[in-house]
Amino acid sequence: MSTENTGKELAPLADPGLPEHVHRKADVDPRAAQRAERQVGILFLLSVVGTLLFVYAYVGIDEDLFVFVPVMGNTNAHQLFLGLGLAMALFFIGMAAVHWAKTLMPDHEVIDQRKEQRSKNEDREDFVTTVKERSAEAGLGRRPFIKRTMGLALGLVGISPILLLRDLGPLPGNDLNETNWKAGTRLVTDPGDRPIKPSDLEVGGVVQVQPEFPPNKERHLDDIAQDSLLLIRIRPEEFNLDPERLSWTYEGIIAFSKICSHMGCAVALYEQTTKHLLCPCHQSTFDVTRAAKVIFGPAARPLPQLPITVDNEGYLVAKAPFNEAVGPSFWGRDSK
Amino acid sequence: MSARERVAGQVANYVDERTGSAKWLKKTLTKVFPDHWSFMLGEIVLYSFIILLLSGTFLTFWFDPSMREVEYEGSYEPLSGLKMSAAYASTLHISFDVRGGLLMRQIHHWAALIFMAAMVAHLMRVFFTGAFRKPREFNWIIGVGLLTLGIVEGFLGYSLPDDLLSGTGIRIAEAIIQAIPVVGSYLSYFIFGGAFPGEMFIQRIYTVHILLLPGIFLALITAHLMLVWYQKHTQYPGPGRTEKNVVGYPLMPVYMAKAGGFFFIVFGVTAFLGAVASINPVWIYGPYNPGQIGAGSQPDWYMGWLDGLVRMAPPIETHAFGYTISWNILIPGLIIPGIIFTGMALYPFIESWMSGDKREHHILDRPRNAPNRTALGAMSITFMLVTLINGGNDLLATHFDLSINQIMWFSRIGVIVLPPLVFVITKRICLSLQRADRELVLHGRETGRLVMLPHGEFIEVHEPLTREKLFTLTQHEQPAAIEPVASDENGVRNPKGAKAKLQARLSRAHSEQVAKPSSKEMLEIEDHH
Amino acid sequence: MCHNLAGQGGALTQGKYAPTVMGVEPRHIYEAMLTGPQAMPVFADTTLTPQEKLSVIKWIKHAENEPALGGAALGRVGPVTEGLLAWTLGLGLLIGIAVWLTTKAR
Repeated sequence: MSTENTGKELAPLADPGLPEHVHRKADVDPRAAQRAERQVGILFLLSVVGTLLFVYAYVGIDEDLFVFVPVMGNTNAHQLFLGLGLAMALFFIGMAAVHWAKTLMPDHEVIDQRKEQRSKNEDREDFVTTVKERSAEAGLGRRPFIKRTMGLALGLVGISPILLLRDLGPLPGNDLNETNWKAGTRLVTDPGDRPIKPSDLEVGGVVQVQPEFPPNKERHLDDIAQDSLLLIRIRPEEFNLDPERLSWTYEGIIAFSKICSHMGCAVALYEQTTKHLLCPCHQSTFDVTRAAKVIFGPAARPLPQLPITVDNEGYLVAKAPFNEAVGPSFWGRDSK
Repeated sequence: MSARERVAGQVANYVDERTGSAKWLKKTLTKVFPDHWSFMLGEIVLYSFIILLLSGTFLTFWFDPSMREVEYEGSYEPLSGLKMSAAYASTLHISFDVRGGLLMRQIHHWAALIFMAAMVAHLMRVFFTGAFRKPREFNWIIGVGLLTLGIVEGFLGYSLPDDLLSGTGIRIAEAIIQAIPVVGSYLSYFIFGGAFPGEMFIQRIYTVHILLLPGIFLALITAHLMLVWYQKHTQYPGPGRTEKNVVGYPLMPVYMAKAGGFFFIVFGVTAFLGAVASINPVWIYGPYNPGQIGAGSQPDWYMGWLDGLVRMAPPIETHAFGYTISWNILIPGLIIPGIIFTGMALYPFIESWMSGDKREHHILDRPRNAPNRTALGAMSITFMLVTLINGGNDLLATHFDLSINQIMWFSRIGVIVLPPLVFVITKRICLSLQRADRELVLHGRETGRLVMLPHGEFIEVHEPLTREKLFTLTQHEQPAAIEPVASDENGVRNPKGAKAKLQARLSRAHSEQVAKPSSKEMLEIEDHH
Repeated sequence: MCHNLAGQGGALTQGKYAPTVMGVEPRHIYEAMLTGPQAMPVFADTTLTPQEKLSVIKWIKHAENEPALGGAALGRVGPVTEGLLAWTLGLGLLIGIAVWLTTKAR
């Protein structure tokens, strides 16, 4: 038996060439072809139905009408039929075109030859010669003064657009280290802006708090992003704090920044039974009894604690500002 | 000549006299494209992109990217009178007071999700079939670039409505920026125009989302398609297909009809999703307030792996000399993604270094015939899946009655242990499949029919494969490992010594194969019968 | 907060969870806020006034009864289910159609 492609016998694993073309029904049977044509036509017509449905939904269906659809529940009919109409209109154009190609357009496989990507040698030599000659004409190599000064000019001109970006924003300065909490600032509820007496808060309770703003000053989201505080009350004997931190609490009430020390989300989930605060973003867990020490999750620092006491009217106030920056870490943060 | 033909002729003449395009057009209309469903994944991406452009343009006619505070006066009752940003209010306006507005918002967002999903599926197809090999390395790099930009574009897009869910995501992004050593807080203040959240952010990302990134996309996609066009599409092994040809159907009429039709189909399916499935119902989330949040906050799926990485990071920071470096943010948020995307982009070069293969390839690999590559791919997918699952750990906990703490520990350990395990298993499976193919070629297909021979022996009838199938199963090449030598015959040490040894080791692992049957072996078997 | 942006319920630590508030009687919601059952903290009337509590209940009831404005609500848990649907129904359907498209007609 031969083992080369010569002669009539091919090697067992050699390329047998393109397989024989198999005709489709529509190729040989004119009735099948007519049927295929009708099917394509119907598909195009279904698209038209879709467009008509869309137009009807747009002008004819009341925007407040709701219909019950299984799985979806009560759905807005205007929105639903607008969408279904559009979907039908588009989808069936596609189906028609594809069905037409599959059944009626010729499906003989065609062969095209590839060229090697690499250019012919003479073209490459031609290119190299051209570049060499024309670089010599530009003369950069013989004119180092031009080369250096060109480099200098082009390099420096980039400074202009960079400098123009300076006014994108102010310099942070000491901003990240400061909040609106100062000694004597009253704690007020959020929502409501009501000052808080210790008796307002029950053991096991939690309250979101903001610093009291004078009537002429408006509270912005920027302020909320750094001032938000959680006030939590537990039984005083449950605290496990050093004397200094204990002195920052008041009769079992302790205040922490609500802004997560990890990436700044609001640490809103308080578990009364375990006295744990959970941040929903990355599941950092803080132990309230131990000054919000991190017991699980990626946060590397406890939540900053705000020292609190009561003023001479009995309302809770800050004793001093935070002793560290609130929120996520940054390069210049003096973290202890 | 009919009237129609006459007019067509006049138009063609008009254009040709000004552009000389007859020859080029003819060549274009007869260009051949191979036909396989897995080649259409890239088309889904392209068509989704067009859908995004169209639906997105519609939305820009009503969206107001301003963060100035307004009081809501639209038709959605529960939020009536509430203070919110103009961006959020205009999103509500589009959803409830513009006919078709909610539909277009939903089509836009579904198209974005499908855009990214199809991109990943397309990337996996290209990877597992080795389509990134020479001469297509540039196109692979462009593709990785498109993937990275797509993730950013999607993130910025769903943050435009300034709602509570996406605003939380922006807060996290700001924390990553702020954590960058030395320049972090400056970058953050410049990007946000001051302290977070500031009043500039939405309008700035709007410019990036509708102008800068789409412009870059258009340029990259054009380059991507031009390369495919010029280099011609790859094809699967099979009878009649060689490294020097491309077998398929011509652009006109078949491909125009199929590909053009598929565009309408993709658009139709996306519109269908926009009609029946609610997505990003920002009216339930409420406007962004940095003091508020909801449990189970997640980013869109293509960012889930990043969130998962951040969640499982050990709580490590360095505090020294009044400075802080947050490794717990920088490593999962910047360093690991940087390594992943760089590694992905460089993979064609890494593989050709390992295999020593510097030839052009236009016939695709069946994944089982490249066991090392397939195993590496499965390993990477495992990594992505574990991090993605961890990104949704709180949702998994509530829906499957699990503990977030346990899921996180599973992910922390799993992300290190599972990928190498999957690598080994996948490679073994590929080699087993090669063995099975070898048996199939040498002995034919087992039919399950038992026959008793005259002398009493039972045999199972094996049906020999067709020539086409035999060729398809053995067409692939099995290059040997490269063996850089430590020193040549004169005792001169190889200057690339250690690197060459590493290359040899990797090359041996990379080229591990089950030897495919040869014609000689086939003939020997035939002689036996 | 703990019960998810749409009141569908949320995860707490160590396998605990905040259950869904959908389909709960207004009285029970009020009582829960006031007494702080199990892990839920106490929201005393002095810190969260009865009026504010009623606003919360009103919103919960509205969300419960609100029809699916954009279509099937997919459990109202957000991007995770949306991503799942995009991959399974969206991409799955499109790949299925692509397979049909490239199969030879009879």
